[in-house]
Amino acid sequence: MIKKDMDNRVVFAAVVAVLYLFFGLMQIVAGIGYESGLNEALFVPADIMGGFMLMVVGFIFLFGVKELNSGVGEGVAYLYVGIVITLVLAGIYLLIMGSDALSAYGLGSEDFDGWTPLDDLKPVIYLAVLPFLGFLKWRGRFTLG
Amino acid sequence: MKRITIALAGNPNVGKTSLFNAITGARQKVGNWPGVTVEKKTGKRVFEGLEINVVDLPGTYSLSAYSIDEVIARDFIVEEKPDVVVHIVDATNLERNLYLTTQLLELGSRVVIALNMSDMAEKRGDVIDTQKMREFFETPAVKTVGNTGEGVENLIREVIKEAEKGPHHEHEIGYGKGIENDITRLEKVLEEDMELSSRYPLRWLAIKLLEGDERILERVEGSPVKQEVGEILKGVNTEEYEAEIADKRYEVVNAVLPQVCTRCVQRFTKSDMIDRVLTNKYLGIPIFLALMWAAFELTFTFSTPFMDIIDTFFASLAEGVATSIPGLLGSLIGNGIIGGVGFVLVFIPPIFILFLLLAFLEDSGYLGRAAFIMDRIMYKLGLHGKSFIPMLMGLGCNVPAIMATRSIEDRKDRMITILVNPFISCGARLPVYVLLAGAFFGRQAGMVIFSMYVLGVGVAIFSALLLRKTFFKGTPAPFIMELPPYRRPTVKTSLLHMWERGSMYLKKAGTIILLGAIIVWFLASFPSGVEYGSEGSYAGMLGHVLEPLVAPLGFDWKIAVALLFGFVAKEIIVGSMGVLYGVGEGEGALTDALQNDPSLFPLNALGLMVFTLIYMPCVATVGVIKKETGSWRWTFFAIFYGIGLAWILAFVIYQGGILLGYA
Repeated sequence: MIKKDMDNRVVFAAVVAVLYLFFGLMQIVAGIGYESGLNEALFVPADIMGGFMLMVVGFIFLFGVKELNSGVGEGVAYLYVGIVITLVLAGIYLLIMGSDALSAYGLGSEDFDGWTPLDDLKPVIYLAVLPFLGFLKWRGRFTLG
Repeated sequence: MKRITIALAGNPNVGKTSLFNAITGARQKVGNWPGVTVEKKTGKRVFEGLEINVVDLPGTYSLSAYSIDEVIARDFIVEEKPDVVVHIVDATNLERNLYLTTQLLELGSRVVIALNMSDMAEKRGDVIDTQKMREFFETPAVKTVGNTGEGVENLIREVIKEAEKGPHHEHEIGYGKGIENDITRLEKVLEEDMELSSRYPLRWLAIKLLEGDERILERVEGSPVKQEVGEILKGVNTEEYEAEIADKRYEVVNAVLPQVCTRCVQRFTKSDMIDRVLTNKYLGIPIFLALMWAAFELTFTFSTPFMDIIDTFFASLAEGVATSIPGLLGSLIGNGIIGGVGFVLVFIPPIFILFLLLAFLEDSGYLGRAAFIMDRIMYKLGLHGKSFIPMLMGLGCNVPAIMATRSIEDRKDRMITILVNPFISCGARLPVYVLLAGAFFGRQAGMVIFSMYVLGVGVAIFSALLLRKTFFKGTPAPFIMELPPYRRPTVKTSLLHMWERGSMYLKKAGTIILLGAIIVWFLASFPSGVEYGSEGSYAGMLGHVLEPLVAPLGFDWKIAVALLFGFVAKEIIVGSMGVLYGVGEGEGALTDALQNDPSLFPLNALGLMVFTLIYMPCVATVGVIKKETGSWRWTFFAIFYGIGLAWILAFVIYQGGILLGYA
């Protein structure tokens, strides 16, 4: 039972790692100036630092996969801390979306003419859905004490 | 009214300041990293008709004075002789903390042990028997929780009871035959010196001499028994003795510990788990950069609508003034006060948000880790790992950051850290970045502003390396730091910390910036009859005198005047520009004026941001550099080195950019 749960965590961490690394790389490449049609379809902005941030998260989960696969139980720390970081980052970008909404709809700022929430939708927000599910599953582990 | 004085002593980061605040009702800065209290702070509490003077001492691991903060703490206990010393102990780490208890008791101080953070210790299953602790140490022990105030009343009652008992007898630890013989010989000799023997407990004095304590050795230098003491110490290897004495003290602690506390064993805690990731050799620095980047993104983007609201308010205020108050008074209020101070107040939202985020990171314990993460790089670059904490504090204000260098033991390490700290971008420079980046870099503004902070750290590291290779040759002292446990930051304390830092900005706006704005307005309005802010005004004349110095950087006379006044406080640069561009209609109007000024474009705007970041520290920082280095020579060095470096970098950006065709 314990073994199965550990396997689930490894698979989960591997999937999250691949997703964040892939989208992070896309964002960096777009930031350098190479954009494809996929960028628009997946709401991937041209943002080098944002891409770097996603890749860092991807590497955290990758370290978790490496340690858990080698039988290091403490490697689960990468999974839990990674989940918290993804949620914090998503929360930050949701707040930014909220402030842009305030500028567009509340203050009627000229700079935000024609703005819709989709303009601020980024991988850092929608990719966090998967870690959020992980958070719900292992929520008992996320207390400080 | 009857009065007593109590001192709060303890290891760094055990919650002394929290407990000080809980006892006195003060709101001193508390941080989840060591070294927040760098000088003693005092407060008062009247309790059941008794006035209690409370002195919060800097954290110290022992009573051997290695760093300035340790000297401050020890001197107060030894020389001022408070009625009671409250030894604040981190209940989750008794072994290390009780070491200081043994020294306080040796000193003959009347001690009350406050077992702080006992809630955390109990949560993890530790059971501490305060009654047994009282019996072993012959001194009361009380459980407290500094940040909630739990146990504080009990603590005060015990303190009062102890104070009424009068002087305490010294608590002796046996150090073995050899050392004890030397202690006895020294005691006999020291007894002859009436001045020394009346001020210090003889046994304590003898032990300190055998440990090779430099401050005590200095005291003995002027003593009539100097020679005899020297004779005894000649045959002593002080380093060996110091280690042996420390071992004996730990033996006592380790003998007592299992009897007063069950469990009290370190396990793989949640904090360890988080540290496994956040302080990872490869991931630590990238995670730090990613989190800081996200914090800056939030700061600048989230604050935009709130800046717009304040901007709209000042714009309508200026409009009202323009229509209702004619003449010179209208110009003073519109162009001078609203144009100068109003512009600065527009930047309250990003400043407060940045401070709030820093408070969250600090209170959680993460910023303390940043010093640990950066130590490897810092050491290679010739800086001490501890230097990174003052650098991070510099993001708020360079003045307390420079004072925080007192926790650095080695003089060379400390001097380097002081001299490079002004390059860390403080909150006062933020308005300049937000204004210029917003005006000239559009959606890339956040990236440009973040790069200013990174550049500041880069320049500080480069300068440290330079100083290490020239004036302060040598290798940095080894860095040992205890990582505090992670704590969940509370909204209340984080908001409080944000307010502590942010209110300084508001105070400056109402005082020094207002004065600066009025002076600049006066210079822009006179001599009488001259067009406001024109080249014929005093400001224009002054600017034209300075212009040749900054013309190679692409700055005109208005920028020259703004930079000159920026020496007083960096925010005045924005205020002065508001006054000199004569736009009292809000920040948006100044942005438009800057964009419409043909002499300003992205290249020299970037140069101006870099110049503002690096050129001379503000007047308050200059003052604290003088105080902390004790040298005018190094103070002038800090000023002129900054100006020179700023000029060179802005020159390279501007002239290099032109050569590359960016203008």
